[in-house]
Amino acid sequence: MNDPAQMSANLVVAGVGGQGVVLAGNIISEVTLAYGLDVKKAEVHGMSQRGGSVSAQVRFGPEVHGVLVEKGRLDWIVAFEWAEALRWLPLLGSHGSVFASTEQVIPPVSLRDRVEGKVRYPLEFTQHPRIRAFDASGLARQAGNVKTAGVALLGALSSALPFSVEAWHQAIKEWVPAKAVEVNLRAFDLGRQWQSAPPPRPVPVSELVPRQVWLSLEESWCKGCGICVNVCPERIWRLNERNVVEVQEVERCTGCGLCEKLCPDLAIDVVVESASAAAWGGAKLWQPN
Amino acid sequence: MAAELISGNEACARGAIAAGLTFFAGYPISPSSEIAEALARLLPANQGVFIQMEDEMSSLGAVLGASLGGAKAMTATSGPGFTLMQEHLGYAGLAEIPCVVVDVMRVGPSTGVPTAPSQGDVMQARWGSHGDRATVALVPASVPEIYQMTITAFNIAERLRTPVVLLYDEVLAHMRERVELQPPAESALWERPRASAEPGPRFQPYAANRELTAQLPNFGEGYHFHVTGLMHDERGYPTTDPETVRRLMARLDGKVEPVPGWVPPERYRLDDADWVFVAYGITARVAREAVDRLRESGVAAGLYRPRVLWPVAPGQLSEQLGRARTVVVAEMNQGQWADVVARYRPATVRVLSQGKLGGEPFTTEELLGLAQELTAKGATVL
Amino acid sequence: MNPGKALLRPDMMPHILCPGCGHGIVLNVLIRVLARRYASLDKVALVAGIGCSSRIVGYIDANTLHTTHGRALSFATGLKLARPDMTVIVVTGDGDGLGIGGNHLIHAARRNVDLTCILFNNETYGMTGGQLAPTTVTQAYTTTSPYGNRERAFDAALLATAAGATFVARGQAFRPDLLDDLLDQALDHRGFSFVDVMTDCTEYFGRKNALGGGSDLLFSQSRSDVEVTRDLNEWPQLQDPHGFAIRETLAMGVLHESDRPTLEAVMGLSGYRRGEG
Repeated sequence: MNDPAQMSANLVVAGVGGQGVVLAGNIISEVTLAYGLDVKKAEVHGMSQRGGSVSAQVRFGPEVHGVLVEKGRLDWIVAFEWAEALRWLPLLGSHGSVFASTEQVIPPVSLRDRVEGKVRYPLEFTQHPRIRAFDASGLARQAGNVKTAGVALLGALSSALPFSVEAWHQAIKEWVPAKAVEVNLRAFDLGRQWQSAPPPRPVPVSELVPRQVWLSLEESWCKGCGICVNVCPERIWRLNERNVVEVQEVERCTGCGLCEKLCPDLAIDVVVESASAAAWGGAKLWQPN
Repeated sequence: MAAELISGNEACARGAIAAGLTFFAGYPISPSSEIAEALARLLPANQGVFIQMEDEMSSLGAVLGASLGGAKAMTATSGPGFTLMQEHLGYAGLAEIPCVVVDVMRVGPSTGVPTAPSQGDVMQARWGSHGDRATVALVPASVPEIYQMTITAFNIAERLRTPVVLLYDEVLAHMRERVELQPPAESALWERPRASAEPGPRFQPYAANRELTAQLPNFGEGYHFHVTGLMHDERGYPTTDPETVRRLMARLDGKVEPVPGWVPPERYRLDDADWVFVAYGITARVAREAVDRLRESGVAAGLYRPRVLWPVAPGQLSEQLGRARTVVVAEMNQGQWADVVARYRPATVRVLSQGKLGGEPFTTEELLGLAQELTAKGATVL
Repeated sequence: MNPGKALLRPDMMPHILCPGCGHGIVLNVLIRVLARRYASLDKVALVAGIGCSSRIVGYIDANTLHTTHGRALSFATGLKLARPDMTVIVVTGDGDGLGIGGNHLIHAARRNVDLTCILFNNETYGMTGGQLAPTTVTQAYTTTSPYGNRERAFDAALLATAAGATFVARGQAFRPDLLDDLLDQALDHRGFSFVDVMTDCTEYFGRKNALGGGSDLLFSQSRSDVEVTRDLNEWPQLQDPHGFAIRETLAMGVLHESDRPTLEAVMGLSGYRRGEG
């Protein structure tokens, strides 16, 4: 392992509002400070309400100048939520890794700051062999509070970094509320153990990244309320001239399933990898790839 | 069979148990409460469920829910409670859910005279629920007949999947008579029709059998179907199609038509009678004695006692009264069934309505006095 | 995909609910939960009253019973006591369950029959055209409160708790995953479980109070930074043009849970298996 005092790296913590993204960024920064490193941290959480997109970029090393990570220079993505991981993939370097929670958070409210829909997911990156995903929420529940999932992810990340457990523990103690210290430390340790132990079942990347998505619409059921149009983080639905929804730019679909779950007419199905298109005869289908 | 001295309400409860009652829900009201009290004691001992609900609407609601689950179910009440049950009576008729509703009549309207006897719920039993509907109402006249007719009520309710109303008054409810109760043979108990089709997406719970009765399975038997108070097609799905609605209504009317034939009227000294009393329930007992007394004085009097008030069999009524010259319909109301008799009477028959209000039953003397008065006024016969 | 769609009666779809109606989202969640919990709906009955909410049972291919206005719980009580082996779910609305049927609600809660009651609460009578409901918040406009509601709204969950319900929760159409979890817990619970689900009437309540369309109303349920927890959450405030709060602050999540023998168990009914008495 590298000498921690000479270590330099770029990472991003990404998630949605309410998950503790900023806190996680602070903890990482705190650890690097303990080793005398320079650290810069940029947070994006402007308009995000609960569920909105939040990220924290952390750059550290003996000397750091710019605060933003450039394309291809990102070493680690720590993603609390899947769609948010995808968002950062374009910046990931060729040796970069992703630590991600396998839980798909449905972030209904996130949508207001995603409405412009400018993000495009480059499919080639989704095949990256170094995506490591585990059930961080499960570990957090095991630790005693599901809200510690982010710290469990930090635990996993910590095993890839040369900093001592004690330094991490100290940073956690400084940043989380006093009464939550214990449960967060447990979550951290569980996350760290997960990484050191071999995963119970190696999960191929293709399964983890929800790329095989079919969207199916029962047109005759759609009453054109427009909820899916407004709720889709990627803005892929629109109402056509018949006041029925249809898909545009289906390749941007992340398979989050929000439109399906919030469709009052039960007209939308989001099928992630499991079913073949043939099973959806009759309904209108879109297939991104 | 040992002889017992029991009240009408107890006979009703015992009859229900004999008929295979497994569920009773009710709300206290005089003069029917003894039925609930008896069943609260009897049902748990007979693997049945007794529950006292928060009102009469929920009582009949619970009965209908239990019946859909397969229970033989019943409730009992009196006039004010019967009024509250009307919506569910209409529902049970349209959705074809078997149940028995006992109405022990007392003086109304409103709280009226609690709890003096009356026969004032005859029309309520017929038209109390909004809309047109088929109705079955039985009217016993003695304690042993309450026992038998409670069993009959269940038989009809189950066989035709319809609510059956048992109407009697406060006097019969609290009257004690010597009875030797004969539990019916298994074969004398009619069961609800079984679904003839297999479960599946094409299953039609409201497809009728030869007796025009829907063949709903019980809930939980593997059939999936919808029961609604909306007009529905044979699948049970809501419809507003006028033709489907008319067909459904005609079927519901048609299926209860045989009932008066199943429970024939009592014809007492009727064959050669010119002067006929039409009376039911407690009033019929008095009229019967009046007939005997009139016969003693040489008048050809007779009694026609319907056991089924609803539906009316017009042919039966006009045939039975065909020979009579004068028909007096005596009832403890303002002439609710007299209108029915007048409507279906043969052209040669004069129908007089003799109602009595105030909460006292007729006396024999009253009916005899009436006969004399009519004679004095120059009634052609008598 | 929602595996619950296999439970729908295709001939009954599309449903009668208005565009953007929150009830549809609750139906969406409910069938998902049913599909996950039950391999077959042979022993599952859904009992409803009258109103927009109560119509939804007709779309589910199970033992479904669409009863009279307000009385679903009484039918369900009878059915459950006669058939303790069945799972009985009651679907009702705020007018149905708290207005005309309020008496049945408190008594069902008191008896602790093993029923699950889901109350679709859109704060108005939708099917009859958007009239004042016992849940309409003070000052809100409805067709029968043209000068604003002068009365106070029921808190359905508090009412059920006080009446003796042994599981009480509140969810909202806007958070389908939370609702999914709450319905799951309610169905797990032995005894009378009650879930107050905040949904939206877009056509009447939304329009009368100038709250916008389906999406706007739905998103209005979300105006909170407070995390939904097991215990308590703030329901967002939404101001109408006249400045009063349309949405009162309400707690979300599981609000009450207690252990008390069910009526079936006390009666010793045979066939009552869940939890073995």
